[in-house]
Amino acid sequence: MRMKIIISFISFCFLSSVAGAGDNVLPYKLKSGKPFAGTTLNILAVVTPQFKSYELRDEEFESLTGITVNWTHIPFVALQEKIASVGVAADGSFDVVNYLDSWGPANAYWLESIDGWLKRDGISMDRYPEAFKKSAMFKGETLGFPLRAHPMLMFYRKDLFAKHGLSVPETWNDVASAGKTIKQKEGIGGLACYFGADGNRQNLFLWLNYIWATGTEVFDKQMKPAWATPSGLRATRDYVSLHTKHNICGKGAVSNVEQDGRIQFAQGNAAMMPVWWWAYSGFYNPNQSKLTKDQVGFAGMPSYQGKTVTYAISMPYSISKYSKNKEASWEFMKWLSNPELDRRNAIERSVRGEKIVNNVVTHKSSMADLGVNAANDNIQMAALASLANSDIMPQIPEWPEIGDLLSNAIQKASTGGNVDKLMKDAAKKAERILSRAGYY
Amino acid sequence: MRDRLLKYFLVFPAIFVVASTAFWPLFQSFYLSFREWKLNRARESRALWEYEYDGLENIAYLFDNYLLALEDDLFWNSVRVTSIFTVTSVLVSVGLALGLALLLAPGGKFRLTVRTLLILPFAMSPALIGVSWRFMFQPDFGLFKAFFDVLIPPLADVDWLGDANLAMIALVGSEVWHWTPYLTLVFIGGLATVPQDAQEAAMIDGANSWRIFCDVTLPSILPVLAVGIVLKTIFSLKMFDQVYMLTNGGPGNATQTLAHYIYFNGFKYYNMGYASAVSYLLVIPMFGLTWLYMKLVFLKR
Amino acid sequence: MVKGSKNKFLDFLQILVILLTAVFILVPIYWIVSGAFKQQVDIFQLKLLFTPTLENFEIIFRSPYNLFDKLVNSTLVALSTILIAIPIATMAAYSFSRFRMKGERLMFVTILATQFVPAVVIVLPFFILFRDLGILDTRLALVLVNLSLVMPFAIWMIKGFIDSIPLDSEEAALVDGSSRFQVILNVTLPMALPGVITAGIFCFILAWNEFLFALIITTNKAVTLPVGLSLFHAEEGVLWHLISAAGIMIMLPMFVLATIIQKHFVQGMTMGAVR
Repeated sequence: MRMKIIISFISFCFLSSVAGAGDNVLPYKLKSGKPFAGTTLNILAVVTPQFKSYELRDEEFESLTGITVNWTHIPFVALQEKIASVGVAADGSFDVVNYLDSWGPANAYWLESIDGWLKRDGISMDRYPEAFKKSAMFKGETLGFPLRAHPMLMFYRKDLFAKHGLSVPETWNDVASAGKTIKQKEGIGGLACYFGADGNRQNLFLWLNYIWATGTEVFDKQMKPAWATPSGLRATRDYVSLHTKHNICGKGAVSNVEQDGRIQFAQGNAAMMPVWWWAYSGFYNPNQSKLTKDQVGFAGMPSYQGKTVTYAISMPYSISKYSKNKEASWEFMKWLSNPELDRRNAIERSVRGEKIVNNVVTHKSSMADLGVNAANDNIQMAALASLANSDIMPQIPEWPEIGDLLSNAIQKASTGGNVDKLMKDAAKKAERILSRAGYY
Repeated sequence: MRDRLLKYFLVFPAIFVVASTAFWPLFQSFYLSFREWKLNRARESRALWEYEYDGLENIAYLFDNYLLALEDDLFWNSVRVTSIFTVTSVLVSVGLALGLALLLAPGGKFRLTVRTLLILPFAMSPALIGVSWRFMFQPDFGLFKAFFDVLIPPLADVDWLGDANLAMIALVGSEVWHWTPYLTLVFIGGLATVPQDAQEAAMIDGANSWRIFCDVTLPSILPVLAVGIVLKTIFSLKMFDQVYMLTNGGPGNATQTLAHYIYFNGFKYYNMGYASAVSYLLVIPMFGLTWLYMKLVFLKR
Repeated sequence: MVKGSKNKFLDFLQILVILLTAVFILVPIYWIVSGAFKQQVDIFQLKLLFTPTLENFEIIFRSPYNLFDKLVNSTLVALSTILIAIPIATMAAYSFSRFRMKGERLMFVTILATQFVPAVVIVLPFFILFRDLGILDTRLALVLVNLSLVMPFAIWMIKGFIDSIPLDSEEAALVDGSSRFQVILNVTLPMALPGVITAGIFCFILAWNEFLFALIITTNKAVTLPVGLSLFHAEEGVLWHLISAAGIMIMLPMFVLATIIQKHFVQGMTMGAVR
């Protein structure tokens, strides 16, 4: 009897303490009680309005946890070397780093797997589209969150297409014929091409769309280069022929990289531009563009031989193994990746007085969100469609080198070189690199 | 004599600084060139050959990085590019500089004013030259487009950096712009030492200006000319900033110099041991040229 | 008569070529300067006439570019480099110029030879060393690497200037009972000062324009101006108007310095060859 009373008393106390804790349960599954108060985290992130606005919003996190966040923003062109040097420095000077998915494997040995934390806190990576989820993984382990990630869309000049009675291109053949019409009648580039190779391998984006559509992979199961098959070579020839045969590109097709192509489109010097969805707002921003919103249309990527497989890219955030504040970093990652922040960041156009225009979201829920779509002309719906059948670049540590071989081969091909010979040669060189790396 | 001690005391700091900032790293990268260090797999380097495991008969493993380079087409491509770049940029800039020096040597207000301009390109950051030249070659709104639009319309649509030969011309052009004015100044300095009386004597003898140039001027500025040529050659071999900023080795690998190849293999492909080995393949001809240069500089001694 | 007109024609031709040279030198510089005063919209239009704006200079000094920090870094790094290098180089140059030492020739030639070492060869060991010392991304690290760059030039140039100072005055002072140290300080140094300053400015320019070392060794805190140029390769494309504005900040101070030393500088560089 007495025992019973004691037990019930104890359990009462226990329950009430749980309920008491429940009163200040923190959002985003953050740990309550500020266990990491006073910690300072250093974040290395790429320069982009999306992350600038995260920085402007991090007061919320700081007041919830007592953790201070320091951001270092590095321009994309300098990021790859910086990430590598953070890994070599190995001094924990950065707790959380942001990188391009295809550099992930090369740096994976010093990036912390987050699978344990994900499980502990009940966070599922299924909240991201499949391609994005895959982009933050290496050898079956989850290395981080894809916080900035892009599907490709085909942007086109609504006004010019209407003027010449052209319909939105559904296949690459349509692109070629629409491009021809526009080049003849308007005297500007039909398509803003970017065959330039500058070490960021941007001329592979569309190439991957082409070869994947034929069922060709970059590597086969034995990790042998597989792009030099007859169908792969044909796809490559067709990709290059946009410039060499159809002659529909704007000026500088061979030397331009993606940025140059975007400027060409925004300055009214080309009528179509297949590129990342985030470029949308820049295309009608009067500081950078001659175009108005009414002139800029977007659609899904064109199909090749009846099929569309799009290339997607992401810039994940990961925790460094050298960090001295891994648990605190994980708290930060939880806050940074929360779906509400993702959503709000694509709707609100001003953060603490600064004008920020961003349409990038990475949660599936945000892409389907009506509020987000209403604020961004439904570009997220188009993105979801594009992501339905998409893939990412091969995730191997040797990719930067092999990717550059391909990138250089394609640039040479676009100057009129022999496609088959160049691609076969690249395959031979790639095989040598992979064999040296011990793949076979 | 206290001087006996003093003279060594005076050079010691300089020797120390040079030894620690030049010889030590040179030695280090030489050491690394015999090791494997893939930044994408490990934080530290590892030996390519170990006596205990590999034995003496496999000592060739030690030279793996070097052998790998010699087998790589892209290495040979960069050797070719570096040679073409070096030869053309040296010939053009030294040739132009000599001509300009002869034109500007006489003095007078007009010429002296132009001479003051000569120092400007040399004082400019090569990285900035690379960026601004890329901007000038921009095919939609670059300076060259504007220029050719007016003067030679067919050339207006040329994609300079998208063509292997034109990109090389652009790269050489930026280097010539950077160096010719400086070399001109050096040669003007050299022309000032040409004996006046010999020139006058030749003139009185009725020799034409071409003969005077060949018989009197050229022989006396030959040492300066030789120094200029070798100096320019060495700097052309080293050149990195412009190729990185202007063409980034493109299109394809058409303008990839050795320095660029080393940089990419080291810092983009994370292959540090290999990059060190290739650097040594660049250092070897440099040693030869440096020796030649020193010979020329101290010719008179 | 005929000869006279032919000469006139030649004169005219010469002046034309010289003028063309001046244009060739100035146009790329003008291109940067004009870009710096254009609005972004005008950059794409190639207008010869445009409404100049100072806005770009405002933007580059604000976040996220904060070019002022880079300006401070560049200045401090270049200044510290020459403050360390020039005294050391002057001492060595004096010794090389005035004394005969064992292995002197070898020492001098080897020091000079280090100027020909490609930066790309030695940057990696420096990177590892600085990592182990924990001084990556610091100005100290940049000063150390820049020493390797300027030291041989400084010694060479200053030696040239000291060589040209007659021995008589030094000897007179020595006879008067001054110590060698006093002689250096009171007699030689004042006479060599223009040369030392010239060498200092020359080395300042070298350190200021240095790119590859800074590219690899700095991330954030110690970024210098030339490396800072990459900040303007933004997501929305290359911001030429801001690059041009930053370009002016990089080149203008160097133009001023270079013009000051121009005469001595050529002298210093050619001395070794023509002597």
